[in-house]
Amino acid sequence: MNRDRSASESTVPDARRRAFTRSALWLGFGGWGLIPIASADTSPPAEPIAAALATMAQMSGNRPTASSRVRLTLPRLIENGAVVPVSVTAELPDVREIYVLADMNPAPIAAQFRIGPGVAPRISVRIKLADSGRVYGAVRTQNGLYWTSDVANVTVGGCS
Amino acid sequence: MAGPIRIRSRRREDGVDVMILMLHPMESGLRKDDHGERIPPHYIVDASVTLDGQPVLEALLGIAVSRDPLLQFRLHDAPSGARISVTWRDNRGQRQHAEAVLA
Repeated sequence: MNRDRSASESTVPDARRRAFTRSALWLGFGGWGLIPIASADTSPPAEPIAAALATMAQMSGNRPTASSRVRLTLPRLIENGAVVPVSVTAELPDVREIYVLADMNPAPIAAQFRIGPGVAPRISVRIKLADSGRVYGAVRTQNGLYWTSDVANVTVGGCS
Repeated sequence: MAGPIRIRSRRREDGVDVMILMLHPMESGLRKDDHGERIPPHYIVDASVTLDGQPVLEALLGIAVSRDPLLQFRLHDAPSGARISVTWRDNRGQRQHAEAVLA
């Protein structure tokens, strides 16, 4: 299974074993406090997400690429699926578009954004999640379509 | 009900953080009311943001976006006093517009 191995294992006891490989990391930054690094699930997406990513990637003439340079932040536990704050950030040059996708919703793309040249490659939005599942952040540059994903644990679904 | 747009900006060391709140029910059309009747869809379809007339952000929203959409982003090279302008359109043809001066 693909996995972001660029960081060390968590020392926090993980009482919630999951089918997906997942590592949550805490990084101390010289007294500023602990900054959570979003865990990532880069196992291959199922349909219809895979098709949506492929369509977006075609706009850059490429295939979708899982990338640790795309970061998705999600709350660890989502008690109200009607309002889920999500951020997508990319450490990539020349980001043109940013997408948020969710595989448990009626439609794969939850929101999409086109950004101008003076805009940092980061967007925050609040979305509805119908159920637990995977949320994806993707960015399109001239060179391709890069994505990441994380698991959303939703207690009460937000679409009905 | 759909309402006004609130624009807030805060200047940071490497840019200006912008927060846009668009008051809107963002009704998907999938929900039912207490009598079991479907609540008709009413949601923002798209929103655009310009800075001194230049496009900075175009958003395609829709039924997966929460009520009262809240967007946050950061601008680089954005002069203090620039005019930030936001417009949204919804599925019923309604529109809303607001402007603010950048921090």
